[in-house]
Amino acid sequence: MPENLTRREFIKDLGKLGAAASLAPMVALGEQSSDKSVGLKRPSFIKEVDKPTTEIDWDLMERMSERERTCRRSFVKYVGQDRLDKLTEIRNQNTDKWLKEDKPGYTLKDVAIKSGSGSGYMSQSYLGPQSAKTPEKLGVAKYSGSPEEALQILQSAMRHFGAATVGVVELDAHTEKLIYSQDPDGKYMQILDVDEPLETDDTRVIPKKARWVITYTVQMSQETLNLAPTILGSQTTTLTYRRARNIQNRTQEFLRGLGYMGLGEASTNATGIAPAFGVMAGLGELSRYNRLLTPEYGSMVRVFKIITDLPLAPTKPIDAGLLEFCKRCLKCADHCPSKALSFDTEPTWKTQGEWNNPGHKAFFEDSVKCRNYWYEVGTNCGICFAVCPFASQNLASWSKFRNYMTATVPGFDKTLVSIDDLLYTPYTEFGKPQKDPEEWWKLNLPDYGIDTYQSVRGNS
Amino acid sequence: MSVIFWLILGALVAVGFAYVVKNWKLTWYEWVLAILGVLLILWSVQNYSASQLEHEFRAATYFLVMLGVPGLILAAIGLVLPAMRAKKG
Ligand code: SF4
Ligand code: SF4
Repeated sequence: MPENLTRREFIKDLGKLGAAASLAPMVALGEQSSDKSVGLKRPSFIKEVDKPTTEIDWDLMERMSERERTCRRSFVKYVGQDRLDKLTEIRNQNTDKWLKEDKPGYTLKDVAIKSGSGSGYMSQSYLGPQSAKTPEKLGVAKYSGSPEEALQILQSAMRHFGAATVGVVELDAHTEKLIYSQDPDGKYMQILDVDEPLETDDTRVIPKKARWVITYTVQMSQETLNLAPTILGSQTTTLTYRRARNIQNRTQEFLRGLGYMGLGEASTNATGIAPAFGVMAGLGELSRYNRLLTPEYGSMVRVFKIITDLPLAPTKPIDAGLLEFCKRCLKCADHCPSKALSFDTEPTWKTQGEWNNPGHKAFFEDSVKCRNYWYEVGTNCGICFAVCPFASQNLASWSKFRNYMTATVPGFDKTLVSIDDLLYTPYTEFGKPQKDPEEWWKLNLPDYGIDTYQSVRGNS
Repeated sequence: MSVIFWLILGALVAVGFAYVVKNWKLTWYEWVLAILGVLLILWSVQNYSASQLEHEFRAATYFLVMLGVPGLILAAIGLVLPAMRAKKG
């Protein structure tokens, strides 16, 4: 008697058949797509390079303490308690006065939207939510794609979560120096030969096997940051940091779901030096305002990192002509109300203060002057981000022409700056926003005030 | 700007050039001027409309003036002379 298939076996076999049938085109497709390079899709005039455009002397570099050295955490050390108290008083008086005067950008609705932008986010942590079902729990093997495939799915997932560009830096004896020795909350960051990450009252341990630093940007709203240094202008930064927390949590869960660890920033600006990782991952170049300048969004991004043990194909640094452009453009330095930015024609090894990490050639900024101004205006300013010629929405094909010329004909840079002045940045009184904040409320801006097609369109 | 707008504009330009080929005789330098002029006009239209979307109204106006006006002048030089010749002939 022939054996009959039970209904269950029948369905199972049917599934196998279906899988075999659907596998054929997938294999063919797989062969095609494996020829394509993974990583960021960019126009060919943006060159991948072995060494970043910023010169680095790794022997001079040491891991730095975020807590002890940056102006964010140690401002009082640089200015003294009396000065800080005075500045806090000035800030409170100014913002209170401007609120009551209904000063554009500081009105009740501007303060209210800032409160809204600053809320509604997941809390962030080093180890992440730890709630995704692991492959072990699901009874399957952990993800085992090649480093290139892993990067591809990671980029897709993270862009789906809201990241703009995603790159990877592999940790080695050099790049480990970009990890803070101490996080903003004072915990020491140790890289040890252990199997699992660990967090105690005073330490965070990064297992040596977690070699890959996922570095990603999150877009800010260019139209909104045009209103810097007002409260309305600054809240796009607030919103971006909150969105980044959600992206971090989701990525940590995604990695856990694949069977790997995702060690996130325990607080704002934790783990490592963001612009440095951005440069090494090829997300952009170091600029005159000493932050990451990207080919896709210019200055309109914030940079974040997550460390993982999922083997990922590292992305290479780039040369899009941006640092060269900065040598000939002074817009951010010119417009900076506190004159905190460098006016030098070339980057230098000489730092401005302890808040800068030596070991690379840069246009180092005077962070103390910058912070002083932040207290004066009651926000984190952002004028230098807003006036940059690359802070544009790139809908006008002029922007493509500008990017092409920047990457290929440095001799044209000064002309591009003059044209940008004429088109976009009529010189305003110092500290005044470039556009009328009251008009912002009448605009029909896209979700989050950003154009999520910007990088896709830029590469088409 | 919508694809349909560019299709219509492209069709108009194509019809225009077809008419010129059929009815007028252009020297090589008139062709160069006419094509350059039309390209500049199209570029100014794209930058103008995109700048409106970007809320960069000042830039939009400058694009019209800086690209559109030279475009019009070049196209006019390239097309007016052969048009006059055609009329005379
Ligand atoms: S944030 Fe403002 S004060 Fe600070 S460097 Fe930029 S423009 Fe200057
Ligand atoms: S404003 Fe000019 S100098 Fe400053 S970052 Fe942008 S391109 Fe560089």
